[in-house]
Amino acid sequence: MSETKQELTQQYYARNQAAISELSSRLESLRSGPATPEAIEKVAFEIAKLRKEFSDAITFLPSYDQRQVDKQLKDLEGQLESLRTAAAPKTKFAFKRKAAKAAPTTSPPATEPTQTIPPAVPPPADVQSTAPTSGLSISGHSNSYLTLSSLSIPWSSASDLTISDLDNCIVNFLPSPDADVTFTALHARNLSNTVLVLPIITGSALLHDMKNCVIALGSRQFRMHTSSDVDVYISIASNPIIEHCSGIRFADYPASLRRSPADTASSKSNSNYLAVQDFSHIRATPSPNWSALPAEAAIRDDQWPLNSAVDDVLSTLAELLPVRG
Amino acid sequence: MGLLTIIRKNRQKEKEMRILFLGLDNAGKTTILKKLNGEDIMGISPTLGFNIKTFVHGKYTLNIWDVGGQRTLRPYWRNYFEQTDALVWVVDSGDRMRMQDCKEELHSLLLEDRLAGASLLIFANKQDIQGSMSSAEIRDALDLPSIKSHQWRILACSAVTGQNLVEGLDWVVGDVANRIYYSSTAEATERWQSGGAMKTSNAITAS
Repeated sequence: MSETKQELTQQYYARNQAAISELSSRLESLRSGPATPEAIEKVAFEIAKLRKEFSDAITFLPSYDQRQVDKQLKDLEGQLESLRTAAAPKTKFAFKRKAAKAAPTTSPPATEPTQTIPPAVPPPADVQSTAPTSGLSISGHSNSYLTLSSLSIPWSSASDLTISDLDNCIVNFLPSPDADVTFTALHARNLSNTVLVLPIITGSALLHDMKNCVIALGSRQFRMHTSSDVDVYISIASNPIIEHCSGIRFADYPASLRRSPADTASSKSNSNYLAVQDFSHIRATPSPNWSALPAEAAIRDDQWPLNSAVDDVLSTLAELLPVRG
Repeated sequence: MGLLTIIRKNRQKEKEMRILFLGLDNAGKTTILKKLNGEDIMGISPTLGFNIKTFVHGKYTLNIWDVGGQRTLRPYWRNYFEQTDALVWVVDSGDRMRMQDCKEELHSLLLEDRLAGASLLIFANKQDIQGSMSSAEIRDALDLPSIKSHQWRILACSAVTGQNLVEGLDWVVGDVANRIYYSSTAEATERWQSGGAMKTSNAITAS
């Protein structure tokens, strides 16, 4: 049994090493010479194939070899990615919003799949109904105090919310008389040294790459990925989860931030803020990546930066952020 | 009696389908299943591991496997590929920032031998949320027209309102039945096709 495993490993290893060195030399030549999209896609396909072979080999590969091969493949994938972005920098954002030109570009390819895929494919005609409905999106601010009324963005009464690339900001999106909006979902990415005060969101919250932040919100679900040093004040009925995080502290959503009576009424059933699951630490032992926020370290009710007259954002932040000073 | 029981059992077994629900985390896989099953969808936690649901749909029994989509769980998806009749790929239509990630995960799944031949339904979920991408936008973002290896279809849906969920299952069951149970499907196919045109237009108006 162990012998056959060894044989399999050796065979796989020989094949894999040959393929990897071949691919890396091909990547090398693509980088120095002209890189056509076809050539890049070909290499991408080869790498994907190797990736697949690797995942099939996991059953017999010793763990050390697994890590090694994984590292090599990751390296190849990284090289490929940088080549791709160098060859076609726009593709990275290709799907942003192209309602206007979507109609002509989609009609020719749609005829192709209909040969293999009979009547099931929706006809390209539906592109016309692509209304330019995008949710509320805030991106690329620093050293600012942001409220709904200070941002001259048209909003509707219910919208999803996308927040990205903020540094040293205070965001206060609690509803006010002149800006009453319900958020149905939150996507946040790449925020640092930022205090985020949000109302109760009816849908889910998904956060990536937060660094030294404070977040107060209510949501149906809460997921946080690849983040560190974040204080989370949350009202939630399900289990909040974290993945690839460290230094996260959880507390209940402050009653002083609740605006509608419904918010307050739901507070009892939504006190799951300490039922955190750490997907990077699926064990019986407690996760080292999060803890309960001690009361003495929590932000006091009168400390929340709700007044738009906050004139010195940086010094206010210095008092509130998990890593202070 | 004994023989009849065996034959019946065999027939019953034949009418089973195995359907795999996959997608990035936060797509709404579990919520869709709970909604289909008439359960409460308010207190659903992100899936740590997997759920199994069994539905009786027409004359077929559907065994639906819903596997968590967190990054740490994705390497385990491969353990659920065996004997899959249909793959349902669920997309959070509001998650513009991860469409590329979503596309890559989907296309790498389709390279998998053990999923070869499985029908592929893409659920463009969360259409109830204003600001979501339409099914046409998602079709382009995920580069679905390049898929030649699987029969596929994309449907705009909402787990919260229930829009198009049953229609999606109908298509999956019809498509799998067509492939696997040739003899006994004439009727099911007909039923599906007669409603097909209308369902497509549903998907359009929703987007």
